[in-house]
Amino acid sequence: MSSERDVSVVPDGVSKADFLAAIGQFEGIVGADNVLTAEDRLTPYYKTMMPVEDADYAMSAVLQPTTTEQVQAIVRVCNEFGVPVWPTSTGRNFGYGTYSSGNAKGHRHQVIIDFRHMNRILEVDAELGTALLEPGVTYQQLVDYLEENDIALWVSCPAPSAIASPVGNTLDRGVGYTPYGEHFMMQCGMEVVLANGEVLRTAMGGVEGTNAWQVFKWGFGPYLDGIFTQSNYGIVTKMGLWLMPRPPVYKPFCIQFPDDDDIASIVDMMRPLRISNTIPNAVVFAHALYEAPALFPRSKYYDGKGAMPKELIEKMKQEEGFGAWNIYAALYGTQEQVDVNWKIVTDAVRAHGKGKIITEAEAAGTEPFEYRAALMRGGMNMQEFGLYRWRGGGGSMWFAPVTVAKGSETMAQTKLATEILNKWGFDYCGEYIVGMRDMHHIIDLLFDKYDEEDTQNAHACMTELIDEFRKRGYAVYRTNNEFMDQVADCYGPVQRQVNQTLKRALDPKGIIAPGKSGIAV
Amino acid sequence: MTRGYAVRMTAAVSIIFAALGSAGAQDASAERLDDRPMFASGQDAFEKTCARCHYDGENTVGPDLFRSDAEYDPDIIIFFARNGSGPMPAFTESMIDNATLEDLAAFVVDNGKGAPQ
Repeated sequence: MSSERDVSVVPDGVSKADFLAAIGQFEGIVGADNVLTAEDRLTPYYKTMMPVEDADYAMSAVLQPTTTEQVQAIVRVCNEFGVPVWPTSTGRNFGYGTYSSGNAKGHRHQVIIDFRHMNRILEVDAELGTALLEPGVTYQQLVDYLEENDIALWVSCPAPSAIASPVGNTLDRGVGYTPYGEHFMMQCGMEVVLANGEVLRTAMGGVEGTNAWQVFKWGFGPYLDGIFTQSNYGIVTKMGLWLMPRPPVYKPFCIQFPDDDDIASIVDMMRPLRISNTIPNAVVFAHALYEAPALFPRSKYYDGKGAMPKELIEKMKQEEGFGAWNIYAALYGTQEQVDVNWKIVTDAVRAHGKGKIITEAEAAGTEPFEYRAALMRGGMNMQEFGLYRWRGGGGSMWFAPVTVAKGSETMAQTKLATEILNKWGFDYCGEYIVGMRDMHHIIDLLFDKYDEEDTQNAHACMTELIDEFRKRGYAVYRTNNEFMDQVADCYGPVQRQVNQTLKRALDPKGIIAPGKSGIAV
Repeated sequence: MTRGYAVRMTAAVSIIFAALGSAGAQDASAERLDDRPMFASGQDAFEKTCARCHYDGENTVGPDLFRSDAEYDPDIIIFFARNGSGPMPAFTESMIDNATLEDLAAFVVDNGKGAPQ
């Protein structure tokens, strides 16, 4: 039965009659109140931080299913009417696209699936340190659960944590700051609704009666979980995660280095400590221009056009007590383990000669140490939201190239990024998040979305950053919806072709998030 | 606030999931969290979600809701939270449930103007 709703937009390539027929069926599946089409109910989903016209990214409807069975029924309807759906968990992908429904190249106005009602914490095994979650669970809800049930496990969360989803962040291959900070590495087992409506349980999940779904990642045969991350091959409705046992001793610390060029020797000093797991967590090397926005607006030191002048950055560093680079790391374990590792770390810093160590006691509750220390034990806070006030105007895009953990590489990337950003009038608000042998070079391209010139420059700047980095063999690990095609190109035609082949096999009508990661039928 | 979430497997739910796929072992009778506030209180939600931008004197990102001379209506607080404004993101019901947001708005209105310092 066709719906009589008044809809403002319909998905590209779908007639209004077919769309209303699909809406009618969606109402039968999830209930009319869980099919949002009215402007006042869509508006909260509508805002993006990208340098685009939000209207191009407007969704035609939002569906809020309650069960896996409802998701199965939804995709069957989508196949029947050719209606594309873009699943989100809680949707707080700040700077990476938020609620955008595909790029504007023929994939506009998709229907959003919002998993807010699929928010069950299905199991937490305190002995094994595993959890099985639905996608609508937030980090805050998971932490509350652990605390209220007195379970001595920690989560690893990204910076905008309380309102974000562990499942969503892991599916986008996001990172946190604890020893479990590489989130996808700590994922184990998925339930996926395929485009044909069937339900796949990955790895051990395929074995009837198994109790190993959340403990053994690989199962038998091809490992499939990876193809459901940053992709559009299925809709993940459950995910297993590993949680870190709370250590008896936690010792966060900061090391400040005074000069921009110190980054090379910092990386070379820290690499062996990280690879040996002496420092086990996802360490951060934060530039002064990443530290500052957490505390105050740019106008405190510079209120002019263009990038903040270097002499004012130096003035800011001196007056605020920032290093050019500010390293945040932590030690975890028994007192004996921490004591031994602390000696190794401090010896390395002394041998380097330029680093100033700041302990938790010396920081004495001040920011940004406090929020960094909280993040490294999975603590919820929104301190980094200060980034959006740095320049004002609400524009934000993460440019996040992968880099090798070698000093010479970081020096080259930092200089190149700064040069391009400054050319377009933007600041280098960057940090490195350290993996085992790689680093995520995270730069927030902050712009005023309410200034037309600034917005155009931001778009051009992002395009140039991706292109110029590509010429030197660098590519980003994640991007927002507007730049997915350009980034997918960086990874070469064969990867794009294979991705498309998988898409055609698993979702021949292209109804799940067409355009995501540059993948379409 | 105490929240006693159920977590462990029940045979009945396992049967349901055995019909869906095969594993089933971990599926539990865990309740959906829809009917529970997503935060302990409106104040808790404010502190964890809003305070960075709206409570810190000169370093606020948006208006400081606790030092402004403006008097706020709860409906206005809820409207801006749900819809965003300028650099402020929009917060959907997936992030802050209605009951918590109403409590948050009441907290701001009751404590906002001129206090606490």
